[in-house]
Amino acid sequence: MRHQLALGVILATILGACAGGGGTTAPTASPAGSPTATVATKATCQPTSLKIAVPVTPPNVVHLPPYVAQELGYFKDENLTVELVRFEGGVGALRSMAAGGVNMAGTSTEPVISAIAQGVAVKIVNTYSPNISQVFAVRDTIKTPADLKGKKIGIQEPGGFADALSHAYLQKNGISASDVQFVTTTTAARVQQLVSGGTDTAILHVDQVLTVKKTAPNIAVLANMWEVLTDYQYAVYAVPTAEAKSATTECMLRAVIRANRAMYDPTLRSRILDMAVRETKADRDVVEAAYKTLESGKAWPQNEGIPQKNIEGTVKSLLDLKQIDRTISFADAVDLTLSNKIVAQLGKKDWPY
Amino acid sequence: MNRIVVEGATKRFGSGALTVFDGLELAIHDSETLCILGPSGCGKTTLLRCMHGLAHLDGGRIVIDDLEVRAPRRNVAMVFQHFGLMPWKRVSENVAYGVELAGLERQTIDQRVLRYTEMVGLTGFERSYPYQLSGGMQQRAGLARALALEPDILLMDEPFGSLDAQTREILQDELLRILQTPGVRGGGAPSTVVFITHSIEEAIALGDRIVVLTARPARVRDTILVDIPRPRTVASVVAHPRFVELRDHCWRLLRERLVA
Amino acid sequence: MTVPRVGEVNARARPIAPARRWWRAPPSDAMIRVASVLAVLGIWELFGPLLNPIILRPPSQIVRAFADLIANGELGVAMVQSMRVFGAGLAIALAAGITLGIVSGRSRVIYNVLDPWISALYSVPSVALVPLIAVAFQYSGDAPRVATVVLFAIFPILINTQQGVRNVDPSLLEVARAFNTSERRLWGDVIVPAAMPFILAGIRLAIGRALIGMIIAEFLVGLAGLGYLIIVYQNTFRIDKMFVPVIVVAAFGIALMGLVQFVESRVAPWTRREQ
Repeated sequence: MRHQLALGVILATILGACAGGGGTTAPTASPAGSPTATVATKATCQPTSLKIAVPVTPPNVVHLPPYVAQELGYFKDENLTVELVRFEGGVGALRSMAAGGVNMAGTSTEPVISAIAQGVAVKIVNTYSPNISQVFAVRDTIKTPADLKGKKIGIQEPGGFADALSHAYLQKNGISASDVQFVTTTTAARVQQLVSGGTDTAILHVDQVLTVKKTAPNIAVLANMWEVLTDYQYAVYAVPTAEAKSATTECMLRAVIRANRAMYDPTLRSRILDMAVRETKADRDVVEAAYKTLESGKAWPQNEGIPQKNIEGTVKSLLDLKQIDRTISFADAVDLTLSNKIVAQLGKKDWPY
Repeated sequence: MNRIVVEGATKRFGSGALTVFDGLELAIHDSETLCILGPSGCGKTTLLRCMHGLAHLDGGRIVIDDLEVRAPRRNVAMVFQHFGLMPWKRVSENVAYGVELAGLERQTIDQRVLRYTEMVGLTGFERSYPYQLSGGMQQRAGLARALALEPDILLMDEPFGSLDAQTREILQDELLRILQTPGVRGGGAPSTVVFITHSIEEAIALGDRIVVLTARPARVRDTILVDIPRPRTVASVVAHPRFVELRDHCWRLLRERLVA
Repeated sequence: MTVPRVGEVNARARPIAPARRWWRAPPSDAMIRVASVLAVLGIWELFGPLLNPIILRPPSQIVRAFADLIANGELGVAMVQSMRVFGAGLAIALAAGITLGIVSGRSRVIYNVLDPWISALYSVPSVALVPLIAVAFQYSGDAPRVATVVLFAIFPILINTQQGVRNVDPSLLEVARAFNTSERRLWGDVIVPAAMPFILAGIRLAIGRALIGMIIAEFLVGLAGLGYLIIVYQNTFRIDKMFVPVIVVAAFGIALMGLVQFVESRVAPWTRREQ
């Protein structure tokens, strides 16, 4: 009930902001190439100051691409002066975009789908991480999925991300939800709970587990969730629908797509790692190990980044959890015009997304 | 000669439902201390507030020096049962309050504060705050504040009513002493005193005359001349042969209303 | 002249007895307080290391974290950001709260215009309004955070001022009238001093709420300042460093409230009788 109320307030806020301020997010940049131009025509932007919301603070390794775009000067290449505005959670990031406070939001996918279902005019245009990049962390007395029976599954809220992922994992391994006990914790306390035995499991990022293991060696990874839940979109970049084909957005997207590709570029690796240690505030060995895992798990996209099956899977999951009350088509939610155009400009990579 | 004349004064509360007094007639002579004695709740305080223009009559009028009372006057000062000191002002500031509002010169104000603080025996406590003083000392300050105006009419509303018996007697003596000081009584300030009380002994000790009021609606039951010579002290009054007679007379007057 | 007799003199007016030597005196309130804090810190230091550092770190490590965050400038930057927002927000809340409080305490019409809004906004959990504020100010710069601090801080000041003005002892108002006060002097002599303890109590409440508002704004309206440090070090499991901004906020609140109490004892010494 409380969550529904909070969601209602949030969505009302977004709706109000969009209805009242549709025009306020119009870019000051004047496009040199029109959005309807041919694929090869590359938009250039006048010098412009922009803000991009980032949803996780400090970032984990998987969230780094926007920081990489900043660090490697990809925004500068597009004449853009970008400020990364930090948020704690995708809802805040998305809301600030809807209010006109930022030009593009990096966010988890669920709030974007919910907002679209409420009629908010936003579009998914790209991502820094299409698939779930978290792992299922457990106390090391749990060696196999069967050991989970009777254990305390740590979730943040019923119907939330950790709950959905935990259910998916249990279901895939044939364990009934009635065989385990779900324990709610706060996001901030989930690791403390796991370490102190308040819970037996937690959904964590790779680097979080590696950091925790340093002081709590009895924590282990039971499964990589991207191998468990395949048809699910983890994160997206979203912009106001009115901006989905604008020159400014094209310039921003070109920078972040180049950053996504840079994650796999061995020549840039040491620079990115230095920055990663600084930004994530994790130890260097943790960052390096997490980077390797994510690289081999293809965590970052190199092309347009939004597989249709992922979006459809997320929509279905939200429908099942009754967080949205109507289905959202891929076309309703996503506009890949610019991403496809940029990928064509830069050359398509042999990469699934 | 009459200083204050109450003519057919009528006062009602609660949009007329409660008559406090109706057609009250009273005269206060020049240079006398008149004590108004009456049972609790008979409207003594209301009458005094009307005399100072703090409350308004529903009928009749009150005249001071041939002018009908409408608002507080400069030559009339009041002493309150609740002392009415400003907690945030020091003793000297409280004493100065009335004369400051009267717009006197700073030098005159300072002289008056000095003089009347000394007169009421608060020298040395000028910088104290009221909360640092006992009730008796607070009322000394309240008295000094009124005297500092050098009014020729002093209205006192049960000023010692909330003090303990011992302190009350001390202050009664102080008041007698101050009012009997030739400089004060002869020098134009305050020659006429209206003193509200419900204590018979206090009325006899302080008053030249006593007006006994009945219970609500208040009427004048009797006016008694206190023929005990001045200068007085409380002890000398109590020791006077007339004291017991006067007290018994007042008692009877008050009691017959109570029984009836 | 007569001197008041002994029975009349209140004990408070007398000089206090000379202080006893401290080693013979029973422990003072302050000593017991300090000892209590030190004892807890001592136990924490001794048994803290037994817990996983993700859960709790001993005070000595927090002290080290303090030094680290000061040395690398993070704490300074965060404090400047936070204090800018806090200072501006509290100043606006004070100015607007006292003004509106006096005006609405005096005028029945204005009171009735404002009261439904004050009651409604004060009873709504302010946190729920923060996203609306953020949207109203388009998430730009300090403005939404300052507005959040104002929202949190203004009501205790406004309501206390209003109550202070409305609840002036009517007998003192009558005294003032009996001495022929002017309206201007009535305010200076009676109404403002009478309301002062209420206003100062309102300010003390407001300081606490303003700090909460500041941190919540920093959590919700784009991470910034001390709130940002809390989130960052919480999410990286650096509990020692997370405690640094928490302690700074707490210390700041305590110091400011002490300052207000000091001002109160200077501006409104008569209120000490209630303590």
